[in-house]
Amino acid sequence: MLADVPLEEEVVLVRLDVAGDDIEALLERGIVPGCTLCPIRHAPAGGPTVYRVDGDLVALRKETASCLCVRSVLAAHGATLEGRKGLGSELPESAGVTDSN
Amino acid sequence: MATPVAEVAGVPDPLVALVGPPNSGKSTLFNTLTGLRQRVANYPGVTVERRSGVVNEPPGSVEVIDLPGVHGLSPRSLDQMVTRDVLMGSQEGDRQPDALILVLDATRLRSQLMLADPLLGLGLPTLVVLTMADELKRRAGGVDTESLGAELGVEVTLVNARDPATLGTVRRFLRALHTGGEEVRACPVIAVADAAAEHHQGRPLPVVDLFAERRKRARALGRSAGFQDPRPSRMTQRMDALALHRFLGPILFMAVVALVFEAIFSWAIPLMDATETAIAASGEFVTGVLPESWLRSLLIDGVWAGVGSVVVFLPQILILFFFIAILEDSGYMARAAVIADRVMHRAGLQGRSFLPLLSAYACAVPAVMAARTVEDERDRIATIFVAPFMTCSARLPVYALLIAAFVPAGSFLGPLGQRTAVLIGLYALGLVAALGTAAILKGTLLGGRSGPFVMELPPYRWPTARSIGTRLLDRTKIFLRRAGKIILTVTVVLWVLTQFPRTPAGAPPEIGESALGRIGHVIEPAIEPLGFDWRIGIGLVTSLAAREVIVGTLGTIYGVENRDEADFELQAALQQDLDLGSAVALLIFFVFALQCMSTVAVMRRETGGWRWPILQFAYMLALAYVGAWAANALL
Repeated sequence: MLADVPLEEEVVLVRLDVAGDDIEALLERGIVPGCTLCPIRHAPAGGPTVYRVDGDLVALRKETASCLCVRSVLAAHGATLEGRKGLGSELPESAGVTDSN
Repeated sequence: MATPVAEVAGVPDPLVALVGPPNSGKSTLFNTLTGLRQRVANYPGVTVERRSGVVNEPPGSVEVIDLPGVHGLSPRSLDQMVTRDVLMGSQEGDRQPDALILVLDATRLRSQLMLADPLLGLGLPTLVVLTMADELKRRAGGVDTESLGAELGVEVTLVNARDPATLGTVRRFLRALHTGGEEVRACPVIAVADAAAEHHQGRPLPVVDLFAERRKRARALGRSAGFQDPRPSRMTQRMDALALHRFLGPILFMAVVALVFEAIFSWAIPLMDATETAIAASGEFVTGVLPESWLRSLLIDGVWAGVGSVVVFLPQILILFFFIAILEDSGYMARAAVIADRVMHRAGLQGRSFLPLLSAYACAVPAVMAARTVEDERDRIATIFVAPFMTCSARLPVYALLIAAFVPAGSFLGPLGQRTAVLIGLYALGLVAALGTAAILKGTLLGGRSGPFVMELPPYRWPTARSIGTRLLDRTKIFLRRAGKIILTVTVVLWVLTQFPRTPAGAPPEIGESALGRIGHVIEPAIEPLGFDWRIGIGLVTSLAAREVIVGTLGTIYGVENRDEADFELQAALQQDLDLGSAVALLIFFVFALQCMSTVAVMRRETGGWRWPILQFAYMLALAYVGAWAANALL
């Protein structure tokens, strides 16, 4: 679950376990299966966490992040870091964000 | 003499809609194009604002509407619903736009392009404007507008929305609406074909798959247009390291809140005093010029007093709007909402409720309107419902009068005086009532699981004088329209009630004998348990126009003549009539009661009916009555 991902670790969204109309609030902001998410900052005192979503910044509460099923970028493609570079064009999601870092 | 083409032909100007995600630079483009020739109105029946303006683009002019920022066209929020209706031509009172300008932030093109499919799918002639060209370049990003245009099948231009010199293509597009040029051909098949792809074997795709498709296509578009992600904004990284820091973040947040408070309460005071003096002086001037008559009385005691009680708040409201505009345009407001979310969520609200509740310390009317930014409908209603509990500035003159009359000036705790302590207590009481009420509402009427809190944090940007000026102007106009009408009407009605029945000599009656005085006597039995007599009763009735009006009314009732000594005379008179218990009861009554018809009116508008305002008025009155009764009984 996204809520358990440590800061600065990039993950890929697999599934949203969010009910009904609420899901569109997430989808419209680019939180769509396949997008890369990276927690970059926790707000003070257990507040929302700020994520980088394909380059944009979005804050989510822990309860929402707990409904987002993710997998690690590396595990997702069974590739090492070197391996990923070669796959650039096939993995635009991860490549784009990695380049910008 | 050259007459605009549109007038000759008897057809309206072509209508172009600006549409795009929030913070994409849409309104900046709108301001640069239309300058000061804009109009703000409401779409009929809903609270979404319709901002429109006219651009002169010979051989004619073009009407441009600035639609609210949206992430899509699903009817998930009021803004998106109105945007969709306007674009489809099904919005009441509006015609379908002849063309679209889709405004996207070039630095965030990957995600923003997700909006291209649903909008180009409408088939209207479209120009895609990518803003923030300067920032994209500075942060070493890039995009090939021609390839993107070829992929999308429409023209694409990269601009700085603030710089008219970069808007050549936009102007050419507007011009072509008159000449029927190449630029305004309807959207070609490519986008429509994609709309068809949203169905799978005749069935609509599940919403997740639809968005996954859109995202895939947006990325493919970005790739083929050679889009290069800009480097992350250094300013945004650095500012967030501070604004969302574990210790410094909340300190900065408190400092910003303190600054806004300081501004609306200290800086505004000399301006408000000056305004008050000007209103009084002009009133006296008119009194001197006109012969004594009922007309003069209506003008001075009705109209002048009514206009005065609105205008006197203007400096404060302007300062408040000024700060809100800076905080929003700079990007900090989104961070403040993130910081505030934790506490707000506990009370059943959310981070976005912070801005309306802060505004409510100046006035509940702009606060109720500001609640539009609260996305979740239940959270929005809850925010609107509790906003009037925050201590608005119209309560201050009432608090000041009663505290000065009944609380000795001595020290309470070290340098903290007793009077200040009481004032802080009244503020705290309002806040506690607001948060408590929100919690109760979310447990009952507005119960159920609330939607996810998704707050996007736009990059920090320097606000421009122009956009702040435009917002100030817009907001102020709306405030005057909403509050002004009601306050003026109520003041004039109250004036009429003081004029009848006439004495046998045909003169207006003493206030105690007037219709208003009789109302005071009629409600006296009801307010007697609170320790109030008919005089205070009259004050409670007149304070429905605006809370501070009670001060002037009591001045009239107690026959305060000497303006220079008015404060002391009124305090002395109140000390005769009220004891400590009933004075505290009156204070508590004003903390809780919804003594403000403007708020009721604006609530009806924003909640779309009488249900919420009536419930709120009754709830707050009940709370005020019980609170005041308890205070009077215990002290």
